[in-house]
Amino acid sequence: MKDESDFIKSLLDQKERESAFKVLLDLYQKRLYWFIRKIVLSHENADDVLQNTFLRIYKSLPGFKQESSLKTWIYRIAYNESLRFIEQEKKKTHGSIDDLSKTYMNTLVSDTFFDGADLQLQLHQLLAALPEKDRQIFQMKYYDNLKFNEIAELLHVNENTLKTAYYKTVKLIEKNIQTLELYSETQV
Amino acid sequence: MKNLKKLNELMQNKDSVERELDKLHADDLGLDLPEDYFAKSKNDILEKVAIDKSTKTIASYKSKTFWFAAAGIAVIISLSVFKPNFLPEPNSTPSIVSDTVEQIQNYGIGNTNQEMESDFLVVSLFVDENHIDKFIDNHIIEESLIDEYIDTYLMDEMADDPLVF
Repeated sequence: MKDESDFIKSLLDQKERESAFKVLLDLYQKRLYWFIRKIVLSHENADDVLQNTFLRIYKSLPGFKQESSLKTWIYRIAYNESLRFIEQEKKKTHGSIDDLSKTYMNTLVSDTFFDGADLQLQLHQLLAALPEKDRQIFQMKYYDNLKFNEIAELLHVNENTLKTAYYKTVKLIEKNIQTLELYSETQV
Repeated sequence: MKNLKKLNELMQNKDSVERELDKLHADDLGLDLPEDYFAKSKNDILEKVAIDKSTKTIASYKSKTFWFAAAGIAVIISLSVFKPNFLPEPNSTPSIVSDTVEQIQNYGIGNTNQEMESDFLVVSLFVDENHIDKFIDNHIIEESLIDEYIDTYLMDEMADDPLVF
């Protein structure tokens, strides 16, 4: 893609970097925010991680070797920053893997910017119960609209394995949502 | 930057995608945001980047100063440790001077015959060739007069001593 290579040149050029970085910020700020928010859940944490992500992107730009696309490279940084944040939080709370789904729900409900009704809460409960990798695959594909090859590169997972995991999760969620919707309709 | 212009055009299309993104997250997952969050966040990020840049500049300036100072200190230490031959030692005294001073302090000026002899020889160097014979003669006469004076003094001393005679 010619546009991207030109844009990368501007990002790597010391004189043009600042203005090119502003464009990069405009392009990816919102997408990265939502990407991070689904991993760290609360708005406040997502804000911190987003800022750190862009700061790291800016610092790492001179070392960008173009071995992957710019988009994958940026998402990779955001993903790593989110994981780093979660690890720090785990250390603070001495949380074990068993507590993860409990922690997921607690973080979500205590966030002032969570405005979910029952159905949304049930969906979150479903997502929280999924293995972490399967949940991330589902979210990256369904909500972040990333391509399978991009997710594979991001998570270092085989593309076919990833597709299988995704469709399995979709089926599971659909089945449960239908049950939930039916259940909520009988409650009205 | 014409390539950036093209990207700006692309960004206009992305607005509609992003609106959908906000709606999807709010409707499906109940995730909300403070008002004008992205504008504020953009400023915060650019501010952080600017701070980081200025910190880097100061750090590089500081490191340059540090290396200059370190180099200066290294030169001073190496000069004081290895004492190169081409530099004079502070407060050093030429050996001829220190020897002379030591001799004067220990023995006094011309205290021995050896000293007197060397004085005679030194002075003789400055005597004109035409007068050198006269100078030597005078010196010999002076020497013999001194010897005679000493002999007379010793004889008188001995004469006064009751144990000798």
